[in-house]
Amino acid sequence: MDGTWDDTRTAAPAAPGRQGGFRRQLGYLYSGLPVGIAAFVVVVSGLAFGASLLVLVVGVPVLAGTHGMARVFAGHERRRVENATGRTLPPHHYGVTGPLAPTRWWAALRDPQAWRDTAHALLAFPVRVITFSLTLTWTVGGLGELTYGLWSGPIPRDDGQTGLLDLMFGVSSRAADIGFHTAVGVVLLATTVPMVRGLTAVQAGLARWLLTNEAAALRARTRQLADGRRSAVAAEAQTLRRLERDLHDGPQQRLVRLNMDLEAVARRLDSEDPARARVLVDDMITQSHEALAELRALSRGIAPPVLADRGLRAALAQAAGRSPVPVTLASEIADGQRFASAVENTAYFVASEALANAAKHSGAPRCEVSVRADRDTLHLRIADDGRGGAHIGKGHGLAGLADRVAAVEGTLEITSPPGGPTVVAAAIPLTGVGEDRGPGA
Amino acid sequence: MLRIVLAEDSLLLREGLVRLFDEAGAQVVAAVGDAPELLAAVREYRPDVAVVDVRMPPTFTDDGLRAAVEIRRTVPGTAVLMLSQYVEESYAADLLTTGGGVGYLLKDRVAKLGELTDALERVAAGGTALDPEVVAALFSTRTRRDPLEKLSPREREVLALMAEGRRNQAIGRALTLSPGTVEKHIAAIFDKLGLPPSADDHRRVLAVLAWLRGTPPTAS
Repeated sequence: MDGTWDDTRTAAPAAPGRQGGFRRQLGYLYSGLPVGIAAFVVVVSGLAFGASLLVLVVGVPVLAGTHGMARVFAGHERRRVENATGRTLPPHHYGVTGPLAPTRWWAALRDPQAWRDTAHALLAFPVRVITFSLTLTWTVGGLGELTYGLWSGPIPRDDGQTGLLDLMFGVSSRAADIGFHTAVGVVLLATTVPMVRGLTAVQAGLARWLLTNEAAALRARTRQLADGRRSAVAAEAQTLRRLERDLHDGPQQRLVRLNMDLEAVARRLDSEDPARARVLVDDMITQSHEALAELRALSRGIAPPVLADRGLRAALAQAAGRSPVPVTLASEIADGQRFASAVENTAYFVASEALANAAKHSGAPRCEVSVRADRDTLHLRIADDGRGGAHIGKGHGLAGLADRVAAVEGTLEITSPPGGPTVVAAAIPLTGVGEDRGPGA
Repeated sequence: MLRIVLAEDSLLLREGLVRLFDEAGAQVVAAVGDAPELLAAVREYRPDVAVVDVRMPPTFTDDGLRAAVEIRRTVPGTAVLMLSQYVEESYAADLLTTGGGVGYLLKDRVAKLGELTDALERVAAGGTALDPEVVAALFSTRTRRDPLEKLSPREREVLALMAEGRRNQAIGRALTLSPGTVEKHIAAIFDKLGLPPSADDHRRVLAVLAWLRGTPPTAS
């Protein structure tokens, strides 16, 4: 999956008070210039440097790095705009996410949103110079004009220095001068609020135009949902097939054999041979115990009762206790803390499957399971110090895991270099899928 | 004494079946666990009957069935008795196209020594042994317009037993009818369904099954 949906966070509180809004907008306009200068300088020098080095291959990482910087400034600007306007921006989407590894330089260069970020850094600079100057004029200038009468007295006036009024209308009266300046100050200050709002809107509009791409974001979201659905269907089919296989190979065979033995016992009893029947009965008791044990193990594999009754932590503790490899469980979730059942089931499935895999293939002397939840994600990590070499494509277990996790829009990472250690890490979003029980409820 | 090659991948059931055949008075000359071994064992021992589990390694799908069809093709004269956990009418049909001397039983059925012996004898003699559930599935899943409605309840019972591969005497025993009455019923059934009369047990079964599956039987 190549998309991210990083705009689901809620925006700054909607519709802030008028005064607070004005102050925020003022702060936004004032701080815009230094930020804009920094962005402009970084991006322009990065572009120039990278473009001139493009003939040598080093230009590619320089340009990719420039994009990365532009993206940081873009992220910063989005937050500033949302804070100043009190409204959430439309979503944006990047084709490339995550750390900028060499393999992704080229892809990063071709990401349209990265170029838009870069364009924003360039275009926003002149806009910000103008909005900054106008803001300064209307606020500081307005205050200065308003108080002209207070501070202009001590300033010596000689013939060479004439006021604006004198230049325009030939009026050189001091009172008229003060009156004029005060009036200009009043007008400036009176129009400060709409002016600041307007300038903010101009800057925010530029950000909205260049820094958001709703259509691409929605397309990416659609793709992600379709992938999730496909994974869910695949995981479901695989689970059912495996369940059928397990039932067939396990309890079903035992019951058929038990049936055979029972018929044999009946025949031997009929033929008055109770001693030989007795031998079979012992055998049958073993068979029926085994069948029961297998059925229990199977139903536990689907959804263990303890998971439904007591939650993830208890179920993980039980899975850890059952594992043939010694497992330490580091749980930062509370006993009895509940999550949506899709989240709990997936997390349990990942843990029990990874532990089973470790027991079967890794030869590890120890495993560690750690689980924690933050505001919106459950993090699960299963690590063993075995021989490694596990791979999603190899065997079916791990591919099934990836599907299961993708079905709830989570991510699964498996690192398992030859020689170990193997680490399976799953991040499962707490909301968005299934019923929303939410954390701590 | 019947000589048997047994193919069953579950060790548990293999042991049980070997004991059962022993009780039935048959001799298991080889007991194997997958389809390639089965083919090799049949070629080596030339048994009277190959008893084969449908689902076996290597692919755990219908390897056993495919091996059985292969046996029928390459080692003619070997009777095949399929064992299955499920009623799969299409599996039985595949097997039946290879001629007489085939059977398809649910695994639950073989526990009854009488039924197992009976089925073994019938397939070894070139007849047919179909599980009543397979026949019931054939009766219930057919879709064509229903001349079966024209049959009397008694005639339907006779038809079901015929489809299983029973001979006239066995049908008479099962329904407590005299041989003459059975023959009369059968003649009436063939007449009502428009089937060519046949004395050969297996051909008779094939005709009935072909009719049940909805393909018109070839008039032979």
